[in-house]
Amino acid sequence: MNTKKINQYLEELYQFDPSLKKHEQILRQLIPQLIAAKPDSGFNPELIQKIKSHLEQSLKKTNYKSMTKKIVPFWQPVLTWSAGVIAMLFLALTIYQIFPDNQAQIANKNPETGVKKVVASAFGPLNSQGNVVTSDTRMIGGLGSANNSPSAQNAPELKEVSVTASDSLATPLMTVNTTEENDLMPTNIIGMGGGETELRNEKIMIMPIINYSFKYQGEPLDLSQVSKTVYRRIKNQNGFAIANLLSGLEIDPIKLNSFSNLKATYISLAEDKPFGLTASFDFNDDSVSIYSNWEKWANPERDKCQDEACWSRFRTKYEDIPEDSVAIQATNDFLTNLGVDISRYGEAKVNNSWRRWYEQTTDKANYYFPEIVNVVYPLLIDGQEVNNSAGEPDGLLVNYNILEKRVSDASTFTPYNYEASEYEAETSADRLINLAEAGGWNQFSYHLYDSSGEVEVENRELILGTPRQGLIRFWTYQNNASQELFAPALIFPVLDVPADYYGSTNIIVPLTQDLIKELEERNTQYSQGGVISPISISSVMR
Amino acid sequence: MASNFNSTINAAAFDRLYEENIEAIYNFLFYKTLNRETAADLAQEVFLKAWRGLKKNNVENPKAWLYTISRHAIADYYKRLKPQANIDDFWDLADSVNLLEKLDQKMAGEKIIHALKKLSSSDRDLLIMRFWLDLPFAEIATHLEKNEGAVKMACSRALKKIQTEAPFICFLLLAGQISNL
Repeated sequence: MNTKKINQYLEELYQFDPSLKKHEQILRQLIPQLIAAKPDSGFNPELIQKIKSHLEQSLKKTNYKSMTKKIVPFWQPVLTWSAGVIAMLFLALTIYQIFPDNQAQIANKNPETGVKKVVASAFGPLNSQGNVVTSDTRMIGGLGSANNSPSAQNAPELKEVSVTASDSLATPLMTVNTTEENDLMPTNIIGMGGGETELRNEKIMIMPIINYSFKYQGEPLDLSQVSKTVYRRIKNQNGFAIANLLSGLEIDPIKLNSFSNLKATYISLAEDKPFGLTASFDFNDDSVSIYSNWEKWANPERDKCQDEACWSRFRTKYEDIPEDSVAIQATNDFLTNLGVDISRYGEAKVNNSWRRWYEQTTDKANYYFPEIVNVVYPLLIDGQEVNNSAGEPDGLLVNYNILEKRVSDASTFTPYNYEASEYEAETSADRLINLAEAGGWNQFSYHLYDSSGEVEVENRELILGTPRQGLIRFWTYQNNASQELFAPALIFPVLDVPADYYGSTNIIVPLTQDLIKELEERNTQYSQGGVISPISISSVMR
Repeated sequence: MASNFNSTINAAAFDRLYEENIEAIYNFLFYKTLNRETAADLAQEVFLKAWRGLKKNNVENPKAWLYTISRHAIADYYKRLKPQANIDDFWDLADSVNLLEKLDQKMAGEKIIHALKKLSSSDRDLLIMRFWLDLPFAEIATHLEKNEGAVKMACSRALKKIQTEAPFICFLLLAGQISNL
């Protein structure tokens, strides 16, 4: 980045805040880095047209006639008319495929539905050779709720064990207290000033690094009954069948049979009525999700708001939030009407984790209450509950809109169609507990610490309770293809979670050898600084 | 650009508004969501709302209004996605994993992203507008309905926060451990 531009940025800021000058050295490096970190948005002329085209689809119902007229294909009206016919065909076929137990199904059940046993280790290696990706690596720490309490139903038989932590995990990044009392840095360390003299007077205040460690204090583990079975979701390739069904159609002026090897990928069907819904079918993933057709959920009063005062009139209030039972009744009714067999899911649970943040906030008057109640129906495979990598129930997510008092979204519906394959399972309770105490599967935090001893390090120990057993959803990628897998794991609850702890409230330890080895290797890498090198402040000083 | 619309907005004027602002609005939405498809969907939503709003209301500064609609569209989007989340944590939900495709960019980029995550949503908006969208302070002030001085001061504070709240980045910068991207 050129110096002139940086100078321009700095001069603008100095004009208003001359005190920034003493930070010039670091700003001259920070600003280019900040700009260089700008992600590539992928904006291009094609995107302008694509957005325009979609916008036109929405605008054409109004008296708008100009902007996209020039880019709309001349056969658009015919296609629109024909789309109705196509949609009916798609809907009939996909309902049959997606909801095999639906009353609206066309014929017999899909004979492939269910869990089919296959040979051992049929899904290949489960470790990084398959590029493992877990289901919730983007989660916000601390979203775990009371709903994650251990379930006795799937827990292994337990005996008394107590093991002391042998490792610890650092907080993601150092946090800072700007009070003078915490001035821990020698005065000539960080070049925050404009010259040598100013550097020596500059002070950086750093809060202690908090290393969390975990100690298991649950009952002893008996692994004789743990599951060895890993499941893989089977995805039907309906896209070709549907395209084949349509291939004889003529959509003026296009003849579909002029294309070859057609495959349907996505289709969305929207209800054209107030509070209508949109069903989005993904034939590649063999799944369907339902969203509110937002055009039909417009709130004219709110939409014309131009200031915060107006917007705030439409914010959810505490008293608006319904009882869990009310929301669950609404979501149950929604699924029943849709023909979904909810017996394939566990007990519906409301995600009330926002209450934790609400209790902690000092500014309750301005708290931003959710507008939607999240109801989760955990997927059951062979009677075992599926969890995400944070140990939270994972399956069907149905959102109940508080303002409109109706279901607005539901995702993701998939056919009950799996393969089951046995993998070598771990039999050492100590090994599993050691992994749990090292943070388990869901600790991807930076592992920063000061090896010089110059920064205060605070060690905190969190207690892990008796685990339950469940399935963890994850994906592996090989040869540009992914497979959605479900592996057995122990889910250890973090007990007595401190108010200022933002990590996961469950620790996940997989039970299959492949994944355990992967986890141990990663922990070794962390401890050797292979992922994020530990930094010695004194080395920076030199 | 068309700087003022009244309730008799016509399609030609809206065309112009779209052409002149789509890139900035899309990029703003992308930097706030870090997902291209989402940004495109939200951009469509923003302009649709703008069209409807401009048909009914007098809007003195439609460009600033587009940013206002964008910020609320983002908030609505994240509420739909994670209704339980704290509003200032929304950026944590964004998929930054695939942003930095080159391996040598990843470490440095992640640290900057991580530092930005620690800022409040409004501070982050400010830095995004100034350093990623390259908008002048005067324009940012208009979009945020604040005076220019307050915006510059807020920007100054945001930069100081990055220095103090993520000193690790400063260590690396000074130690030369973050190479030029």
